[in-house]
Amino acid sequence: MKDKPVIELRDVWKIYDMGEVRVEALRGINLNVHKGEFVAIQGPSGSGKSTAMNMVGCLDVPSKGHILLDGHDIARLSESQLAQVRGKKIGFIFQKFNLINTLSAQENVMLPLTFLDVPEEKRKQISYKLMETVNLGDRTDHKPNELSGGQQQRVAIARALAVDPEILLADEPTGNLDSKSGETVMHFLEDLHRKGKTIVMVTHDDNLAKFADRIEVLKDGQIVKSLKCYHKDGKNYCEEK
Amino acid sequence: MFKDFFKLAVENLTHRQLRSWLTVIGIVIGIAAVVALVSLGKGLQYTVDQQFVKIGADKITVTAKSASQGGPGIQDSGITLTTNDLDVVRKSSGVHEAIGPLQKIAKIEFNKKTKFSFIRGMPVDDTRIVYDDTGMYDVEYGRTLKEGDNNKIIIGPELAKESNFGRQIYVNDKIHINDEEFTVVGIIKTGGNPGVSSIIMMTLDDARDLFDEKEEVSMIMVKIYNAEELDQVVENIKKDLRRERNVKEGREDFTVESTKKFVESFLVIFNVITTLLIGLASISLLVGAIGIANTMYTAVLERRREIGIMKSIGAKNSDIIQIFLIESSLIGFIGGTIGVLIGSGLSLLAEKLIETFLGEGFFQVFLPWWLLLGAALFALVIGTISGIFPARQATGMNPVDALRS
Repeated sequence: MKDKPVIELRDVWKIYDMGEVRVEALRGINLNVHKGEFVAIQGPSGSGKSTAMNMVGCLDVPSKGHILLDGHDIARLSESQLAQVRGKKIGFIFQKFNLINTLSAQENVMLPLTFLDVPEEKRKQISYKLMETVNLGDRTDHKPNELSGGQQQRVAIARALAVDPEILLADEPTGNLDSKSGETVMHFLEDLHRKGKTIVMVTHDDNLAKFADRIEVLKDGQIVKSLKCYHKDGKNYCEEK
Repeated sequence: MFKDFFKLAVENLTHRQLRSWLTVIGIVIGIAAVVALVSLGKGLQYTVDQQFVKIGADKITVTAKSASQGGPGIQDSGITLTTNDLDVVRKSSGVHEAIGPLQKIAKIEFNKKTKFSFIRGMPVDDTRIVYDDTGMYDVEYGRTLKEGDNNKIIIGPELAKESNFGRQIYVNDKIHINDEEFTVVGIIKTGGNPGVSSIIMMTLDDARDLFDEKEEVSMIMVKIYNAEELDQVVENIKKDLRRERNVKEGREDFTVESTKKFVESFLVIFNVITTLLIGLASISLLVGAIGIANTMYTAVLERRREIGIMKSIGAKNSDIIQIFLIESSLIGFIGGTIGVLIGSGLSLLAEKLIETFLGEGFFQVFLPWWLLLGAALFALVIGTISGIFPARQATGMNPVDALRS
C-alpha cells in the first residue's frame, strides 16, 4: 500500500489576485495519497479544503508548486488532457450532487462513459449494474428531481464509479443529506474503500472524517495537523501522528 | 458520440420549449421571406423573359408621343401616325415587314349588356407575318381571322367569360360593336399574352369602316430581317420618320422602341427591386441569427453549472462546443425547414392569385429543389455560426467557477 503515491501535492500554493486584495487560499501544502488510502481533508469553512480538493481533482491548477498524478505533473497538461485525466482517473462526488436535470438517472451515470466514447450497449450495461449497486435499479428512468436527496447522491456515486476511476473525490458528500441518508452514503464509501478504491474526502465534520485512514487538518491554507485513524469494534479512533 | 450529443441537444431544446420556438420563429420569418421573394422574383423574371422570347427579338414598335407624355396642362396634341408613316417605315433599311393596326375603344353589346372594350384591327393579308410568330393571337376555339372575313371577330379569353356579359361568349355568337353586328369566329387561347386577354380583334378593313378612319394607325409594328441589326434598324426608322414628319433630332413626336430594349430595362429595374427586397429579408435573417446567438448565450449562462459538471466528469472542450453547436444548428435547421415550407407556400399562393387575374399557365413560381434545400442548409449554417461564440464562452469557463454558480 505504501508504494509510490497516486496523488502528490508538493508545496502547492493557490493565490487569488483580486485587484488590491490578495487571497492566499493555499499556502504551501504537501500531501501524498497512496493507492487504496482513504484520506479526509478536514477544516472549517474558508480553510482552503475545497480549493485543495479541486487541485487534487485536476479542476484547478496551482499558482505555485506541483501536483503529480501517478508521477506526472498536471501543470504540463492541456485543458483537454486535464479533462481526459478527470474522465478516466477521477470520480467526483459533490455536496450538491450535481446531476444533470434534463437527463434520467441512468443517463447521468452513462455520461462520463459517453465522453470516453464507450459504445452505447456497454454504457447501458455498466450504468445499469452501477444503478443496482447503489440500490436504485428500479429508478433508472427517473429524472433527478423525481428522486430524494439520498437517492440523488447515490446516483452521483454510481456516476463517479462509471469509468472505474483510480480515485474517488468526495466534497462534503453528506452535507445536503439527512443523517440516515448520510449514513447510507458513508457506508457506500466505506465499502468502496474496502474494495480497494482510493478515496479523498473533504469535510468539516469530525465524525465523518473519522471514517478515513488519515485526517489532514487544514487551517488558513496550511495543513496544521495529521491524524491517523483506526477502526476497532465498530468505532473509529484517531490520534496525532 | 455525435448521436449522444444530438440527443442531449434535443433534450436541452425541449426542456426550454417556449424559448426554443420563439428563437425558431426568428429564423422562420427570415427564411420564409427570402424563399418567397427569390421564387417569386425569379418566376416573374422568367415569365417576362418567356414573353420576350414569344414576342421575338426581331420586333420594333413605333408609337406617336401622346399628349400625356407632353406634360400636364397640354391638351391632346392630336399627334397620330398615319399610313404614310407606315409606308416610310416599311421602306426603311433592314425592315422585313411592317403593319399599322388600328386600336380604339368601342361599345360592346351582348346578352343585353353593354361594356366598353378595345377593338384592335389587324391586317390579315401576307403582312400578318409580323405578329403571327408571336403566337399572341392564336385561338383556342374556332379559327383565326383570314383574308376576306367580313364582320368577323376573335375575342380574348377574359372578355369571353360569363362575368362580363352574364353569359359565356362562344364561337358563332353574335356581338354588337358600335351597333354593328359581328360574328365570333374564335376565342384567343388562355395563358397567353395578358395584353390581348380582354380585346376584340377584327380585320383592319372592318376596323377602318367601323371607326370611319382611313389614315390613322395606332402604332406601327415592325419585323426586321436580322435580329442582330436591331439597334441599327431602330436608328434607320427614326431617321426616315424624322424626315417624313419634318422634325429635328431630339424633338421627335414619335417613339421607336424595340421589345428587347423594353424587356432589358424592365429586367434591370426588376433585378434592383428583387435584390433590394431580398436584402431586406436578409436583415430579418440576421436578426434571427442574433436571436439564436442570444438564446445560446442565455443557455450558456443558465447552464454554467451543467458545463462545470460535464467538465468535471471528463468532457473535453471540443465535446462542450459540439453540444452547443448542435443545439444552435438544430434551431437554425428547424427554423429553416419551417421557413422553406411557409415561404414556398406563400409563393404558390401568390401564383394562384396571379393565375386568377391573368389566366392559367402565364406565371409560374421558381421553386427548384436546390433553392429549398439550400435555404434550409443556409439556416443550419447560420445557426452553427450563431452558436460559435456562445459555445466558446462555455468552454472558456473555469470548471471550479462554473460549479460554484
